Amino acid sequence: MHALIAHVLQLAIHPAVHTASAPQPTILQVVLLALLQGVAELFPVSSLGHTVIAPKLLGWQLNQHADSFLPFVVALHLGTGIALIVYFWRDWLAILTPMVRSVRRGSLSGDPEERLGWLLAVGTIPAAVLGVFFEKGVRAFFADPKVAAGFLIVNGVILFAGERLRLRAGRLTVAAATDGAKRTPRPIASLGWGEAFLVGGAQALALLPGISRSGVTIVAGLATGLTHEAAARLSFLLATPIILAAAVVEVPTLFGSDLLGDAILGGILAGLAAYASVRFLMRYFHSGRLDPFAYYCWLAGGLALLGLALRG
Amino acid sequence: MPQQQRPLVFVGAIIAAVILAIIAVLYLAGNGPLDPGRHIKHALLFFVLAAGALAVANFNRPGMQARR
Repeated sequence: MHALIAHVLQLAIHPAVHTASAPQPTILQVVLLALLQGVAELFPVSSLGHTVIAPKLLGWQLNQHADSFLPFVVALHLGTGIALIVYFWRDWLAILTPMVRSVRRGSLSGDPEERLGWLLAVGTIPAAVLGVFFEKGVRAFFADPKVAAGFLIVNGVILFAGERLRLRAGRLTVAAATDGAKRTPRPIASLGWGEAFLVGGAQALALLPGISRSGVTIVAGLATGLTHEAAARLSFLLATPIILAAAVVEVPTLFGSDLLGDAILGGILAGLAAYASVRFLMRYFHSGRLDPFAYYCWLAGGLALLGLALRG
Repeated sequence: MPQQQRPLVFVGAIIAAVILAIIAVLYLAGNGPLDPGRHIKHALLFFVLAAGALAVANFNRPGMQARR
């Protein structure tokens, strides 16, 4: 996903010609890209779509030809991943400890946090496989900012439709319940292995610039009967290993490059923005819905298409 | 998991882990089945998948009580 962002930026703005040295991005570009990444990665509005569209709309001549550009973008994702680890550190501790015990024991117990850990492992597999094998092909086909703007509108449709389906399912469940019976929220650990595989696999749709990883996984979680809060928690927990795994592979190439300082600054800013975003969203989804994000995607996608058409 | 299927799953998972690990090494060496050249990400993915297969084998060790 992270390599895809950088390479899509390259293809969208300039032909992919690598040079050993090139002008560095300005501090303003570093700051704005970092904040954009940190916020849009977790909000269901597609960080990849925004990072494809925004530079084109703003007329930025980014240093996408430098060899260190990719690790710079990955550093932004590393900041985001660390922010998620910091916010959910209690969750990860509660998940990983029983998982290790289950491996030693050689069997699964009834511990819900242990099961959640293995559900996350199963859910990560399809996104990882599809990402590794298909990101190059997707990059080649969908590098156009206009395509990203179009998919941003599609993302809004996914969010809107997902919310409508959940509301409909909720009304049917309440209608079927006996008088006075309250609908018990479904815990994440109650998901089946197939459901976890499908929710995790939904992340692969985010290979398309404009489709939000968090958006499609939240919608997929809602479709299984989870609450908004639980679906958001599942989405952010699923995102963490994917983000960090890609960063582990790419970040070592950053050291010794001419963008190290920018990358460190960008990573810190992206991390701070991501922490604030996840904190806001976990509170928002306690009672909030996806509709406002759908409206935003439609508005942003439409305005982007208009702006790109006017720029020519 | 029915008790009589556990040895089959155990053996199958072990075989899968070995195959996945071999593919990972091939990608590291630059002789991957699909893409020529050295692909660290592909190798890492297949090592992780091999670890997953080993986990499945671990949970289906013959003689272990099935608790789900």
